[in-house]
Amino acid sequence: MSALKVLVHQLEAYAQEELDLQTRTLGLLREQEGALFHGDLEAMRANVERVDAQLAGVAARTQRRHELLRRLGAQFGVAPATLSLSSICTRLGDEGERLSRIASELRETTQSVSRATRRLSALARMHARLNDEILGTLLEDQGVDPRDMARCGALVDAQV
Amino acid sequence: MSSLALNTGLKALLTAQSKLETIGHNVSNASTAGYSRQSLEVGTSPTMRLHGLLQGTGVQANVVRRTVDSLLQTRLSMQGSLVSRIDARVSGLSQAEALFASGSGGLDQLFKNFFSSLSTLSTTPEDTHLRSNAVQSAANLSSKFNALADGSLNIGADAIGRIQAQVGVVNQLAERISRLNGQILSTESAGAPANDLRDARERAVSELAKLTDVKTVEDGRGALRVLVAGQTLVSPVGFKQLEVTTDGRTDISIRVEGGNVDMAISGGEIGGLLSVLRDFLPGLKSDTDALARNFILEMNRAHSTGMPSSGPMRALVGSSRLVDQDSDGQVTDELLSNSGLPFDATSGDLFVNITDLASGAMTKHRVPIDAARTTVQDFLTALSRVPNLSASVDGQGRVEVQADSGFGFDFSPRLDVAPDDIASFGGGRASIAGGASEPYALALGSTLDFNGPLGAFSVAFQPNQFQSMGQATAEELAAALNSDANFQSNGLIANTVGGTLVVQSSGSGTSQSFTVTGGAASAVLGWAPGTTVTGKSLGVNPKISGTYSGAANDAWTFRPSADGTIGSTVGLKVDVFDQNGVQVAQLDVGANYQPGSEIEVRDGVKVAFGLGDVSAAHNDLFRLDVLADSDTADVLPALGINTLFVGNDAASMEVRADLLENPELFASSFNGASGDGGNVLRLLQKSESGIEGLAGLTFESNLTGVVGGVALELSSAREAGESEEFMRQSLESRRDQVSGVNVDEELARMIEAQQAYSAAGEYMRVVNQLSSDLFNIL
Repeated sequence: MSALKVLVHQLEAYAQEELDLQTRTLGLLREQEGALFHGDLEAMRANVERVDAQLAGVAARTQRRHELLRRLGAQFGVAPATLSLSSICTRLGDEGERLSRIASELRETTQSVSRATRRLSALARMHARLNDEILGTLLEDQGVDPRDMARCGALVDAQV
Repeated sequence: MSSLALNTGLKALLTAQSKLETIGHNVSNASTAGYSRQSLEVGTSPTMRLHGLLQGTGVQANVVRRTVDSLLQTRLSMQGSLVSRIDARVSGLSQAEALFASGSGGLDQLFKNFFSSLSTLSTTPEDTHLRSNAVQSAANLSSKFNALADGSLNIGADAIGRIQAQVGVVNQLAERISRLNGQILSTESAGAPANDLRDARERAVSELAKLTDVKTVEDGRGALRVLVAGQTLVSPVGFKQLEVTTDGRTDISIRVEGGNVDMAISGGEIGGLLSVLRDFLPGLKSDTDALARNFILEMNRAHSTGMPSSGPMRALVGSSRLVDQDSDGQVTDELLSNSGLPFDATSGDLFVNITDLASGAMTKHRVPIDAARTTVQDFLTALSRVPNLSASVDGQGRVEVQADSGFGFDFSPRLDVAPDDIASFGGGRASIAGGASEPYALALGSTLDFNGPLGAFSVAFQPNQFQSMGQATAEELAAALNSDANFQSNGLIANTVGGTLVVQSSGSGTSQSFTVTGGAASAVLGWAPGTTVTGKSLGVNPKISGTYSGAANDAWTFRPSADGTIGSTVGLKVDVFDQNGVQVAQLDVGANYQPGSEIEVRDGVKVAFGLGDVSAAHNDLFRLDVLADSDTADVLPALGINTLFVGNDAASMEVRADLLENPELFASSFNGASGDGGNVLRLLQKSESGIEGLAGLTFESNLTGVVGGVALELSSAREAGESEEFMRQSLESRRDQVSGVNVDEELARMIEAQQAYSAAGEYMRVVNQLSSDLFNIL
């Protein structure tokens, strides 16, 4: 088997893995959306933890993707940053048919994840603002800064 | 599809906002009395059919529920009503307890002071200062009774004032509940539960229950019908006002607007105040008045039958005013027992003593009173018939009694020390008494034939001289004889001794003599024809001493057992009979008796006989009234004659005005002798006597019972109040558990939500960033 073919197989495996991850993430986001709708704080917390677990392998997969794109760039004689799954499929022709199908599904799923996260993000921010306002109203008479209370134990950075 | 998603998200947002607002509402009302915790019920939004598929549309807030236990709420209202009722009752009872507080200035102490002043006076009855002190003590006691009566009225007036104020609050609450009824109906008919309005209505009902007894019935639409004491105050369509009618002092009536039935409110503060006003205060007033009334009566009974230390009285004016009951312009035609007097004049006897102030000789006269027949005029006439006494009614309707010049009168039950006024017992006059007492059965044409100093004569009796000739009284017979010219011209006089006719010569000594020669009436009188009686040179002249200690009034008749000489005839006795003819004593006045020496008859009464002849054959006798009570008709207290107090209850009780001005009028003496304090002792004895009108209790025991009753009732009410308040607090606690808001819990819930939203938001940002990265390679 040629080196390119091996790299394409590895890229197909990566794309499939990413598709599975995005599909699971989308499922979690839908559950989270339900928890937010119902104000089910326990479910929200559980979902955040599951999303957190989902994100655990992100760094390794990103590293793996960069490596694959670097090696494919070398094969095709182009800079890795110019490569995308679509352009790779075009370069592969018929041999890129399976990768093309996986990439298409991944695009669609990722778009769904993106829409869901934007919606949920807006919803969560709105809740948080409302909470701030109510807490501020309730606690200002007591000389307590509601932000101090709201921050207690709150997650402030989930960046990976 | 995107607009449906947007709509779904918006619903979720609104739902979450409602949930947060509910939490905020709970926290804001955490300290609002009667607020019920609310919670948001969420549910799935109805699905939509889209492109042939059923599409979910997210979540929606269905309803905000009040967390409330209606049974608990009802019980809490009832308990609040009960506690308020008891609190109001305790308040009234406390005021009464303060009025009757013992110690200095208390009624018990003033009673003691009064009797103590009498006790001191009894040792030195002629002491002017001590007499003034006793009168002043009586005045202090009267003032205290007046203060108690005023105080009771003030408690009642205070209760009425509070009831009026609280009825105003009830009316406001009725209006508020009615308004809330309308608002709740309006809100809930639009499909939204009116939680806060229901809370407000429950608070109003609870407030109402604190004021009165309340029952509520909610109809199917959520409108509340409120019943107060069984009558509708608030209906689903309106409300009524309560109206108060009162005299401001003792009486109050509460009715529903336009109603004609008094409301029997028993619960809440108004119920408690009404119970004080209608149950407790009348009972207290009744007890206090009974004590005052019986004290006044007993003191006046004793005082009116005593006399000042200066001796018999010359004139007296009663303090009670007779009332013209039939409004015919005169009071004298009224029955004495029904002439508007403060105390009842009953059937009985009034004994009047008339004293010749120059000689000191006293005669006792009985004035009978028949409650069913004796009019005021009859009484005045009977008094005026007593020799040397006159009685009339003054311009103010008061009875005034006056003795003739040189005479005095009194009503003391003292013994008549020289009871044989007409000398019919071994006196110097020629004397013969009937062998039997009245009534005498005379027949038409009966005569009594005598042979007197001027010769024989016959007295013929006429029917018009008698009420009933066959039932002739001794008085009628004596009057008939005394009106006969021959009887008079022969120097004879007829008298009576306790219903027995006595015919005597008007002069004394052995030269006085007459003979009963016959006639039909002589047989009726038990006189054998030919009986001659002769006067004597010595009179036995019985003398009485001592003080009668018997429990009941009686009239003793003394008769010799045989003809003989006091202190000389062997075996001579004097038999003593009571008014029923029963022998109560036999006195040995024979050879062993020393004439003039005292012999104990019985019950503290002694008698001494002088040397002289007595005759059983001529029915010698004398009569002695022995009195435990010289006014068994209570006519003196009723008319206010020679009383210590005027008035007949706590409010009207006063010391007689002229007595207060001149304490010398205080009736300290029993017999008028110098230094005699016998009547003070009689007054003093009342402190230890069981009083019939007070169920046989002494004044002190009765007062202790009254005061103790107030204290016991207060104590019971306080205990009940504590117990019921504990129950109320327990119910309140349970209500808080069910319906109350825990601020910390609610805040913690909000902060928890805040953290969850923050975390979710943060993760969404990360996920979105990752998605963006992924798009870069797609």
